[in-house]
Amino acid sequence: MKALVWSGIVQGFSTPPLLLLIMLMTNNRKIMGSHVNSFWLNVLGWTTTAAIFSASLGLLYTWIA
Amino acid sequence: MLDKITKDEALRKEGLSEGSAAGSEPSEQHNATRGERKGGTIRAFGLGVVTGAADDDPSAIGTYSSAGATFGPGLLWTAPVTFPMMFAVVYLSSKLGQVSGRGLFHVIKDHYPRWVLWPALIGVLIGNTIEAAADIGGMSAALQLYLPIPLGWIVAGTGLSILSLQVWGSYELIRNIFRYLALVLLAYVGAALLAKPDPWEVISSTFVPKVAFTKEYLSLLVAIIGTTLSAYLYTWQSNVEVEEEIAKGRRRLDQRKGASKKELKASRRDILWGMLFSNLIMYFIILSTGSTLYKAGQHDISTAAQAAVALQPIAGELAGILFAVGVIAVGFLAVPIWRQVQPMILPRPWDGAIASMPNHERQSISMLQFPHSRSLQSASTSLASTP
Repeated sequence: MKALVWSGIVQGFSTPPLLLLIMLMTNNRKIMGSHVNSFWLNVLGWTTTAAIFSASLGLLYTWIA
Repeated sequence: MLDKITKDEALRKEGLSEGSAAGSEPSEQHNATRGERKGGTIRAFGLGVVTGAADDDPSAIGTYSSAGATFGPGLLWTAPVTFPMMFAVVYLSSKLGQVSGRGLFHVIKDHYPRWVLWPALIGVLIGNTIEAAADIGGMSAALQLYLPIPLGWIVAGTGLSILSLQVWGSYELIRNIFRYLALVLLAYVGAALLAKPDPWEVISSTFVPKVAFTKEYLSLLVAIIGTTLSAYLYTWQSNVEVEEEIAKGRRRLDQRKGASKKELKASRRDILWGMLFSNLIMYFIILSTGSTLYKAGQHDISTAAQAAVALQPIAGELAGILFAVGVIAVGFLAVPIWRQVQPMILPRPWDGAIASMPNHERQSISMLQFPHSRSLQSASTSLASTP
């Protein structure tokens, strides 16, 4: 059961950079044309990105400190 | 490099326009499918249950159970908080797939330098492999509740049976069976209610996030985020959209590019249902383990048998069986999804050749390789020019 949690933690660290890329891509007019994110989708997306980045960084911090 | 892409694209256009039988057929097909999409709330619910349940994979069940056992209702707030987050990431990647007509990593490859592509790719591959392994381990631990043989044998057996079902079995049939078996997880809803948690405590911990800056708390928080928003889910999502467009007869990239407002709206609804279902189960797993194991002073789950105790309020003696069926069902749903994601990401040398063949020939070749999977066949078209 411990291994299951650990696998979640690994996923937790691989998710933030990928989400950052997705946010950049879905706001890129060259890729999305007129379908770039709306204001509210951006608010939601960036909040999510910030939240998962800070969770991972927080955990890293408790490991180091 | 650019040269290679254009060449491949030209090849693909040549070969694939034969497949779409140069005529009005694609657009007719397209309209029909769109009409269907508009109609079915039940269909949307069904689809949602599949993606949602597969997102609650064994590793997610283990993580949520540990969260409930360790902190009681303390992490309940993560369910309402991750719900809009899950929706955001899955919808964004689905939109990316629909509008660009390509899978996630294909788009990264086309628009970003290699030093961005490779670390992201490697990170996801490692994460996926570990999670698939953890899932097979979790399924095996659940099986071991009723099979008194060494764990190693069960792991090998489980892995082999998933693989052989994929190669020789009818994947569609299997998926349909496990899709319904996954509904067993709804038992957590009943178990949580029957365990009679203190309503006031439940409400306050659901709506008021309390973050403790300890290693244990943050580990579980990151694990919850990792399993709910796991990378495979949205890699898969963007590829599924491409695959669906190909199934509608849009075989060429320029046909697949772009999406109507209506299409985006329909996928928004599908995703909402799926994430809602997955999130609901997550909430009640935390609540039921919190009101059973945590309350009983069992704050650390190390075996499947301990995790199954959370279902005792509703199932009594049968809790173990229910748990095992649920874990094995979601495992069978989730692990093949990774096995589809990996080849979608990884380059395959013969892709270009397959993609440039006429449709029926291409199909039979893919059937030879992976008889179960329509998605692999279309993945080969969407990724024909991977590095």
